Amino acid sequence: MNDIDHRITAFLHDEAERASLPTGMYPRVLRRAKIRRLVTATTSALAIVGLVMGGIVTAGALRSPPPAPPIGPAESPTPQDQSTGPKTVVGQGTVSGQRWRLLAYGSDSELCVDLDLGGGSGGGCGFDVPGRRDLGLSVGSQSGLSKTIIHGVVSRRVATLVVALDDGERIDVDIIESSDDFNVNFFVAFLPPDAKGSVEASGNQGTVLQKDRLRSLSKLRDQKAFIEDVLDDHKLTAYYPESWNRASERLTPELDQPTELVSIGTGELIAGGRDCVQIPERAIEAFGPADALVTLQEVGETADFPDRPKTFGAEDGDVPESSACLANADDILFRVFRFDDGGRSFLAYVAIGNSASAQTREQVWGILDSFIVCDPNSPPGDCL
Amino acid sequence: MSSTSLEEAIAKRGEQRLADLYWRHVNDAVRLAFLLTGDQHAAEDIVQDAFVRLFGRFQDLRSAEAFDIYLRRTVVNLSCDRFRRLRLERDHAARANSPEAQPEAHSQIEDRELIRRTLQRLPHRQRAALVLRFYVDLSEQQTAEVLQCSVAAVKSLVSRATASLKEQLRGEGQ
Repeated sequence: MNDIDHRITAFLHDEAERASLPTGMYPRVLRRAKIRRLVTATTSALAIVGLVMGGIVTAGALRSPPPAPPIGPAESPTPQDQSTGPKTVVGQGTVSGQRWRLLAYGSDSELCVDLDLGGGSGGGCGFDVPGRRDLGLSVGSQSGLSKTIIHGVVSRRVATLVVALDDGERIDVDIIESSDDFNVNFFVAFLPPDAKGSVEASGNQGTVLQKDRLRSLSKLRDQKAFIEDVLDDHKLTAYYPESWNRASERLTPELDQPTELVSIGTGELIAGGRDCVQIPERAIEAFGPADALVTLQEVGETADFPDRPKTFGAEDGDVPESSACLANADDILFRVFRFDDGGRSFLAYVAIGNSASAQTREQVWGILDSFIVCDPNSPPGDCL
Repeated sequence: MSSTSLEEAIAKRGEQRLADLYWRHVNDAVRLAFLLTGDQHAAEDIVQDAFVRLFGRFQDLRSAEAFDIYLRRTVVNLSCDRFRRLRLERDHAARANSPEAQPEAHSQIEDRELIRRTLQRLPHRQRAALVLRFYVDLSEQQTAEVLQCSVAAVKSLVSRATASLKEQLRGEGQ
């Protein structure tokens, strides 16, 4: 250490002693933290909060790829989501005779974006762009305006934004370039009512950087709070509804290769099996007709599976040979997905009772879409 | 145990855990925020916000070490946000560059004042790198984790920061 380093070090230590140590802060921290937890009903501090204000309902998806499960709309804006920086109008225009303005500002929850439309407003915070994502999407509607409204942020790597509707129509979305105050660009689009499809964000070379599904509001409204489960031992973070349970032990105790990482289900999670050690046989056979189960296993060596899909669906899975082991195979949808993610290879088994609700089915795919795979060497607690 | 009392017990454990983490880290966090902002009130606000943010996220924390990393990272990020939002860096630099702010003579006290001013004028990430390396005594690797950049970037940030300080001190000392 040279002289200048010594002088800096000595100065910093002396200077730090000038700081008055806080008294009476803890009750405020606790009170605010409780409010935050009560309102968001989630353990994620980076959750996007959908707001219901003035007739606009919006909700966003968190952290993608892949998108994590959405958080249900809150009843009112929360103290911690109040603007803490000046609101900047980053875009404005007119739709169906109504004036809209897109406002951006910083808050406790990172960057926030509100859409003011016809006297109402709604939005979200914490898009995690440009950190982990290139696209942060909020989907909404407004009573009296027969449109699906999307707005949000894109990283500056994104050159084009297209809505690819399931009926084949493609809609170009204008990207609103912002000043240097925000390290992102913005967008707003007014789509046909009940639009179904995906939003694709592409780079200069036309490569799709991120693709998010437009999730319908009815599904979002039905969603309850999700649990964020950081599985340090497996360098994996899982998200699942509070009404689901994570198995406290491996449901495939005799399986060594691959290895079960996590199992999440709506029913009783009984470990073990009779004929097939590679699937959670007893848990599936204990199924109620409306139950569902997701089991994730990791293959010890990279198996060169296809890349993990952006979104999962029953049509993309294979019927496992081991379904022959299940006594209730005819009463369930049973699929296996093989994929690579982050240099690791996985098998995901999905079992859904034939009488499972649409919401439960949606949650199954939401769980698979949302878990985060981390580098095996990442520090503890870093898999978020 | 009824479900309500079970929930209460879990909530109680959660609060106790937050309290433990809070009291273990709050003083270091305030000192760090103070060095980054040079402002006592801002430091307290930032640390309060940081704990509120991390409370939910770390309810299931398994490693106290991880909390430490995240708390530092959050404090650094919030300090950076604050400067960006309020544009204090520009204002402060303008004030510091004003003629009346210049020291009249070189002495130990003025040397400290000079370091303080120069630190405040540094870009936020340079200042953060310096504080994390020389005050918190983190390794280059640990500093890179907090700043979410490469080790090479940390070396560059520290090198540029010390060069600026050296230049200022030499200039004032002559």
